[in-house]
Amino acid sequence: MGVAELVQHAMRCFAFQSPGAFYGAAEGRSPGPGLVYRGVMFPLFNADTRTFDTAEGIVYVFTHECDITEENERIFNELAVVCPIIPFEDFVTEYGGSIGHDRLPNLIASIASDQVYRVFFLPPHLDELKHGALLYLNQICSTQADTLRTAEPVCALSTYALARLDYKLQNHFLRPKSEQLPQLT
Amino acid sequence: MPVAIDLDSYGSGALTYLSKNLNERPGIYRALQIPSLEVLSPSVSVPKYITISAPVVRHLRRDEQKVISAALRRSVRIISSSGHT
Repeated sequence: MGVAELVQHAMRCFAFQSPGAFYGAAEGRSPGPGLVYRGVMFPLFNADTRTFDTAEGIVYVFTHECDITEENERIFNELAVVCPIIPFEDFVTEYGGSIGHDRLPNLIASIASDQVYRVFFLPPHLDELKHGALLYLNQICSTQADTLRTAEPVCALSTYALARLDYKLQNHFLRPKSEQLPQLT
Repeated sequence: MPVAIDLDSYGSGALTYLSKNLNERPGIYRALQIPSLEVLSPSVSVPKYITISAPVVRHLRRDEQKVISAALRRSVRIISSSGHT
């Protein structure tokens, strides 16, 4: 299956009822949760050197807009939390080249139906997201907040989409521990 | 994917509460204990605890984790690298 067929396959399995209601325009909105930007710097782990490279790409913003805007003078707001966005076609290309295509449809079905803890599927939209994209939540990292203020906006998630992603974050970060921590007695 | 909850005998109030809060979060918990639901459905007698089994979600395999990280690297522009020379 090519990228186009795999996108169609993903959309047939898509977990949420309204893929068409996932996005809106970013113009006029400040960097904050729900916003996607291109040209943003972030650290990227290099498995060969076991250190971090500096990369530039598309990111989703987690930090609240009040903690990013220059208008609010706050301590500890030099950094913003973001998650790099992986265009779907890059994932398909890499998977096919490394593992092969046999298992890919099943994995994509699981991701698109929101069954994979760490990965959130963004449905197709425009430009870099025209085939959809993945948020790999283990890649969440920080960037300088002022880079977001000058970065180019791509799109904004709708309130509907943001609520779905917020649930995903709760799943990922707050699921019950399997190992007991020391208890207060 | 909806969470399977067999609560037909516990009243529509309890079902509404649970489906509203859990339907969008399938597979979080293997078993979820919810304290007494009397306050939600006072006309219905319910047990003190209800255990809900949610479907197990799929985790990425190690090779898939490497692929997804490699896919991210493929999609970005490397500005600077700490690569050894």
